[in-house]
Amino acid sequence: MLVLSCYACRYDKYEQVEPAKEVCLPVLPDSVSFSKHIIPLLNKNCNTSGCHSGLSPEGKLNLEPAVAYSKLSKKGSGYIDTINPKNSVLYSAVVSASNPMPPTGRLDDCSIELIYKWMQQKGKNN
Amino acid sequence: MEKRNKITRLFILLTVIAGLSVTGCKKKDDATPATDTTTTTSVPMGTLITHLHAYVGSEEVYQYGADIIYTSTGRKISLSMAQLYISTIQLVKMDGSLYTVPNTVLLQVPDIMPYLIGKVPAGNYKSIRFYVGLDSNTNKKVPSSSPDDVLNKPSMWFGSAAQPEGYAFVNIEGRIDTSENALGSDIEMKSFMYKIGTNSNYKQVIMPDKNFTVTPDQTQHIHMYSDFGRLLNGIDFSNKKNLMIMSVSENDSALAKTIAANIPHMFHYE
Repeated sequence: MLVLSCYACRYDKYEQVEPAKEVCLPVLPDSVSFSKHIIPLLNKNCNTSGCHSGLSPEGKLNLEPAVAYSKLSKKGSGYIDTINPKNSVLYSAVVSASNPMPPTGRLDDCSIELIYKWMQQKGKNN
Repeated sequence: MEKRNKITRLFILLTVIAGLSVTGCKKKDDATPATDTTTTTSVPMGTLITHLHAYVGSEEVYQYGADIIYTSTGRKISLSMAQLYISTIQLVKMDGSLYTVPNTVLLQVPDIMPYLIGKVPAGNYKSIRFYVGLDSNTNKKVPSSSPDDVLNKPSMWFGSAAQPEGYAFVNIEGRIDTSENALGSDIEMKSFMYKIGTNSNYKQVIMPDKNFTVTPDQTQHIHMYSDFGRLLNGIDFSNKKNLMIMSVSENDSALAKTIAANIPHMFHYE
């Protein structure tokens, strides 16, 4: 009966994700730069061929360096949210449990924190 | 006798341990009960937002009043207005039961994509369904004077006030190629305006299955688009009488019914 009771429990399926600030503290910059920190992240994970690049980008969102900022910051688009970064499409996509971006594998916690911090710092084109 | 007492005590102890183990388990999946419910207390919640684009056919509408784009039937159109109400939103859980999001009315407007559905129980879902329009009670409400009141939008009224006529559920305006073969020049692009409302045109949209997970204290987006061009399927535009629906009485017409019948088919996942 004891053994049966143990197997009656099921695991909680939710992944509680919070940026691991303590782990990234020595690495995360004080001031996050779009060109220096976010663009390289997009180049490595987002605007590769067949994804958010070219004439027909995925989700009609082109994240190539020349246009990424204008697309992300387009008024009314919701891609970035400097008041509540968690509600932005960009942040929610990289932490999503069901449809994560990039689909090839979740970003590391420090990259996720970088995106969050950039929006907290008003998401500038710096 | 002593041996029997020991066995009895051991049995009681094992029963207690078993009972604690079962009740100590967390609920396996969605915290809400299997039946339709709107209860939200003591359940981990996450935020759900729909990221809703306005399309005509396969083209997103970027410049209202300017872009000439093509419906899925190949007819040229330029949209100057494309708005609709979404309400009575239900999330379909993995077991098929429904969670109704309480008190949520959205108004899709040009150039805005994110619309907050609200705080919903964390868990795994397989679909979403909703109505375009307002239920009969909401349709009778007088809007407040607050600019944040989603009902306080004169563009969604039939007249100079919301009542007594109720609200337009869909407001779509623009210019469209009225040639019979849809190969007309710009000269044949004529203005059209449709305000679709009334309780009989309150239509449900049932989206196909596409799993999504709401995580506690995080935000999940559902990416969709509304094809406003789809609304116009089946209309004979060469008949100039078919270019306008502006009143409640006109919503009883065959033209209005044709447009309303297209509503359940105009939404797609992006």
